[in-house]
Amino acid sequence: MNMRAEPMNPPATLPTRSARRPLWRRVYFGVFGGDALGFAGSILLALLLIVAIVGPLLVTHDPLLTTPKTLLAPSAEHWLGTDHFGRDVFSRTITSLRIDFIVAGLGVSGAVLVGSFLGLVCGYVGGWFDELVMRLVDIVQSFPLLLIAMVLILVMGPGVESIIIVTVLINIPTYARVIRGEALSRKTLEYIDAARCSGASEASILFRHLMPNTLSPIIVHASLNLAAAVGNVAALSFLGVGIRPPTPDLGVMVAEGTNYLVQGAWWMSIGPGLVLAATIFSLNLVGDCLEGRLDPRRMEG
Amino acid sequence: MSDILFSLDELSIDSIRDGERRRIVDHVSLAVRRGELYGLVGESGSGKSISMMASVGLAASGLEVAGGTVRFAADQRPAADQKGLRRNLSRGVSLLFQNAKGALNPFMTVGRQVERALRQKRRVRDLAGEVDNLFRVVGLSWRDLGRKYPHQISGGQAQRVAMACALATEPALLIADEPTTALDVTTERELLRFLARLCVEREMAIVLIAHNLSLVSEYCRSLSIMHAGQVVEEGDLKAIFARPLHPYTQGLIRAVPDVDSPRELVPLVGSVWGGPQGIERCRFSHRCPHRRPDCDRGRPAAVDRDGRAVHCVLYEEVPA
Amino acid sequence: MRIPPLATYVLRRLAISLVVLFGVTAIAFSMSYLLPSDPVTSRYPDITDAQRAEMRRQMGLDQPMVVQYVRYMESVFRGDFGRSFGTGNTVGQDLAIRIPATLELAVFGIVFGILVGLPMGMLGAVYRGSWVDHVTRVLNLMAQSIPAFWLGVTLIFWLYFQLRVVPSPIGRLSPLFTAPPGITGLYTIDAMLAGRWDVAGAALRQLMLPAFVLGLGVVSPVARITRAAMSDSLKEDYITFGRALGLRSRQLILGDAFRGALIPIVTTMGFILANVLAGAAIVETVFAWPGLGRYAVTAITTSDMAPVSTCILLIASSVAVANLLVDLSYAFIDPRIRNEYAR
Repeated sequence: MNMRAEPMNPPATLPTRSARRPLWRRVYFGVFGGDALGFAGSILLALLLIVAIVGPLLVTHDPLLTTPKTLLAPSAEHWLGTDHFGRDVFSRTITSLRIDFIVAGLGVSGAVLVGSFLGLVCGYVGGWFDELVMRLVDIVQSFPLLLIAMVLILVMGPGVESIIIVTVLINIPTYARVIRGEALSRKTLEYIDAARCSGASEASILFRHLMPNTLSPIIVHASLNLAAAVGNVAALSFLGVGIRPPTPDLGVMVAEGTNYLVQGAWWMSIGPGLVLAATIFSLNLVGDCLEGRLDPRRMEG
Repeated sequence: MSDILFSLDELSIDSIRDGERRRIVDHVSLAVRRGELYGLVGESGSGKSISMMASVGLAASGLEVAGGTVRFAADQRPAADQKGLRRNLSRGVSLLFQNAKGALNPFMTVGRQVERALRQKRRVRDLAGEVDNLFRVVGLSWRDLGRKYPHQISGGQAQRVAMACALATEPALLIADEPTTALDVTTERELLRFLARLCVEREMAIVLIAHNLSLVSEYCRSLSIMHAGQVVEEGDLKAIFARPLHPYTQGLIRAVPDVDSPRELVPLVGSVWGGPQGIERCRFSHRCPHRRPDCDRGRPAAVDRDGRAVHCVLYEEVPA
Repeated sequence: MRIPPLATYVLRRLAISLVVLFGVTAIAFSMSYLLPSDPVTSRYPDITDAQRAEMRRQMGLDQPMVVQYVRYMESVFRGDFGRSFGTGNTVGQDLAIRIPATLELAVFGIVFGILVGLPMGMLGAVYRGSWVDHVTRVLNLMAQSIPAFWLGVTLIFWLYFQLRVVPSPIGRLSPLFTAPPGITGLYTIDAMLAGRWDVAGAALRQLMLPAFVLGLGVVSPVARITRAAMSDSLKEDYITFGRALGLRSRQLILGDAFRGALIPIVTTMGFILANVLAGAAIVETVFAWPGLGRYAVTAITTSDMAPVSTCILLIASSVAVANLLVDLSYAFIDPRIRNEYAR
């Protein structure tokens, strides 16, 4: 027994003064655990997502259209100015946001699917298969992601598909590990044996019993992963091995903007960069808040 | 009563989780005399550990002291002043915990830990000699164990080392929180006998927190019985055992097996935290065979009877 | 003669690492072999096919992969690690100049990251739930979220182009100074050893911004793990017992609790090193720092095989060494583990 004498929990919520707590209070405490930061982060994230989804309707100009009006400072007509090809920076930023979300999102989703499946099988089957896969996972995880990504992308040829595939590959280890851990700890639980006794096939046990319980760690890791993935995609594009121009991408825009900093055209890099930072920040806020909530050690009692 | 060394007066503690506040220690009062072995008994979750920890300023986070006073020797202060209460820890109060091996620092040898505890008091002249002495007092040899790490010694030895640390500052009061629960029966008896001896030899008061009533009955002079954060009966142990007044005490005693007079064991029904919530009431009423509507009208006040105080409406009508 | 068990453990780990690294060379080489285009085309885009074929033959690029691999491995054992088509030097020569540059940057960056991250994490753990905790958490998340490349660019623009408070990002030392005699390869240390404080100062000024940006990427994981580990450690019973014995808070936190938190923190260091190497690639590119990272990036984008293979090999080795050191340090930190090894 913990000697700090944490109290044995009195029974679960019984109604106090009012008959029911207001909805917003229940969501605030239930989902976010009273974490104002996480709440704020999710609002910011929701805003960015809406902007990204509604993107094409919000753009003021065609993001790919080059005009002679190069390097104009931000104005009423061009909210974030124009770049070296006369393209509207604001429109390009919004379009890139969309693209980055999609690429990172697909990459992480793919990693979740493949990684979880791999981890589930490993944890459940065990044996030499488990050993082998875990060794490979170890090796992949201990490498600097960026450099692997660069090499792989160049080997496969630059382009959106390569980036997505690379993102998937890089993030598989995280989910494989997490799911494997959960599978290992649960595969000996009684309800699995009970299911077996009732005649369920091994596959259905795998999917119907083990999977739902692993959902929360997946969500936590996924949000944090997305944040890192968005950053990585932009970084790769910045270095020239990611999304190639003329497709707008936040990293590419910052890279292009660097060349014109000398001339004082700050709006080319600062604007897209801020949006990128805000996106990553909101994803991190949400992920961090969820992580604090779902950490099993936080349970009192 | 001038020989009262330590007392709690109407101590109340709330636990706060997710914005919800629950009273887990409800107006607890008790008094310990100098050199007395005092037992504090209750089921798990009755609030005995929490009360004592809060009384020395070690209330866990998430807990808030809602009221009450603590008196130790000449010092008296509100229980909410946790920081002030903590100062008593270096001025005459020591603690012992259930998990002795966990209580010791895993990165330091046991010898060095006792040494460190010794350095807390005034300038020590012969440090090595005093360490050696302390080891001997608790029945261990520094030469054999001093350079070992906590994970290399047994549970019983660890508890003795913890005792040596606790005794280093020559406390006037030792709060022992279930010190023997994790040990086997033989070691348990040894340690308790040792504690009882210390109590007499050093005139050191000991508050022995336990959930095992029969254990306490062998060694303690006074007793306090808690249930769901409330004290139900408190006072002279012999008086209580001779004639338990509170229905809970009666239930506890009835549930203890007696080798000499075998009888059917009668367990207590219900759970500690059941019954109506959020109102001031006797928190045992929902499990009580003598329950009446009066029980839920407020906290039963203390009634003095035959050398102890009992908190039950059953005794309130008849004037003492 | 009895070999101490710790030594056998180390030797066993080293042996395994060597085998793994051997495998890594094979993988590394195949990856670099598969890179599209070839050094010839990237260097000389406008030559005829006949000329290209001739150049490839001269460079040995027309040989089958296995032969090229063998030749590469020979160069590894020789110590020169092949020849870079980009610089014309042997990779060994290139690395000799570039590794110290990255080392210096990394050391300053990591030290900065730890100096900032450790206290942040500790404050968050000790004052858990208070405004201090929330502020450090937000700062931490911000540090984690700001893309290094954008931060570098923005800082250069703002602090150099606009405010002129930092020197121009042209490398390790402004052309006004000459490099100090090379003992460690770290300009700051070498300059101080030679008594050239002005050079040391200049080198330090050049390091400021890139080390800061690199270090920021270290602050975040360090602060996170410190906060988590310290929180757990502070909840341990022996801390409460220490308080019960009247030990002072500061000693308990910085001494006992921190010692308990060390193992998770040190474990994360291995992961942080990988982070730093990746971050160095970006930071060096942005700040024109002549280090390993920029070398690797250039080599990859120009399909320069020998440097790419060697860089991958180098990175894998440093990560393996770092992990080994981390594992060994456990024995020093925790006496319970010390006994494990002794068995």
